[in-house]
Amino acid sequence: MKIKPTSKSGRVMVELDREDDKLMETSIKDDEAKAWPSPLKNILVPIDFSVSSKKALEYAVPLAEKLGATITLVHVFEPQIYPEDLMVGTEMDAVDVRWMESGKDMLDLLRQEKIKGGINSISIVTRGKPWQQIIATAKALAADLIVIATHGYTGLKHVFLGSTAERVVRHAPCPVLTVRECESNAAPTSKHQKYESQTR
Amino acid sequence: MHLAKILVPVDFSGESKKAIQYAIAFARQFGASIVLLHVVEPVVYPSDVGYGPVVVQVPNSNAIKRAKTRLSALGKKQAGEEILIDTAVLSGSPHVEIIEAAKTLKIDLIVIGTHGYTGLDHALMGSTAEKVVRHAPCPVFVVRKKEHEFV
Repeated sequence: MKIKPTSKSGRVMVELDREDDKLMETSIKDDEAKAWPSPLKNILVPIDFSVSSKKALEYAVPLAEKLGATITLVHVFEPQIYPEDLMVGTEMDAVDVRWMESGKDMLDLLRQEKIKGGINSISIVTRGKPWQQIIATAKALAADLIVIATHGYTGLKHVFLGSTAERVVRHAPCPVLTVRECESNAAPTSKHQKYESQTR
Repeated sequence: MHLAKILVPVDFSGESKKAIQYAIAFARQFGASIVLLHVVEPVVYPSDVGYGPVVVQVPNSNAIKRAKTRLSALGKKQAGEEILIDTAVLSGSPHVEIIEAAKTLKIDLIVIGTHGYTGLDHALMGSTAEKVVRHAPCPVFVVRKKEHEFV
């Protein structure tokens, strides 16, 4: 950077080098972005239309708003495999396509309902095993964050973490935010009780 | 969205330091405070033979003291301008203490690394992280070692 006087009083000429261009570009937002080990700009939310998956979306929306991220809703359609004996015809493929189309419509409806204007979002419907498709979609989109509910449609209450969520957390190519359906506000157990039972 | 308190379990591994970085970024964005928690496992003494298979667990007070100094140093180093960072050292089984602390302190978000000190590379996810995700009373942000890097 060079500062040169000019003929006009009270004015100087500032010559910028190539490196100085970067100086001019940096803004507060960039500093904020650098604070993140990896910026969270692309959020993937798997949806199975269960109440808990909608809750996951409710977590993703304010995050996306604050972080200026886009939201991708992905619904995985798990096709039914019929044994050959059943003589189910090839019409089933067409039915699958119809299911997937309606899945996309339902996702679009959900987007309209839950995602405020100003946040970019897209809907994707894929076919296959849910956890595999979720991971594949995350990789394909280079998602920065997956927001997933711990339980989905089957919602086995005695299981602390649903199988899909568990596999997604295990294999995800990016950070995962797990959202619990009902945050248990159970009172913490007494520490003494724990130690007593361990030493008995 | 109410994000006021973030809990970061720390075992001083590189992964847990990355978790702290994420927590700080969250705290900065949402105006939250951070609690760094280190759990020291108690020392297990096999008791006298006469008593049978009973073990005595004693809090490892040396390790606790060392951890307290280390943790507060780490907190001060990472602490920025406006972010409130609290530290705590507990004794017990890591995942149990982490979850109890989350309940007691009414934590809104836990940020945890998939692997910690043992860092078994072939394991996709460490045992502590998995148990925390399973039983946490709040959302858990799971950070992994190698995320996709587009740089």
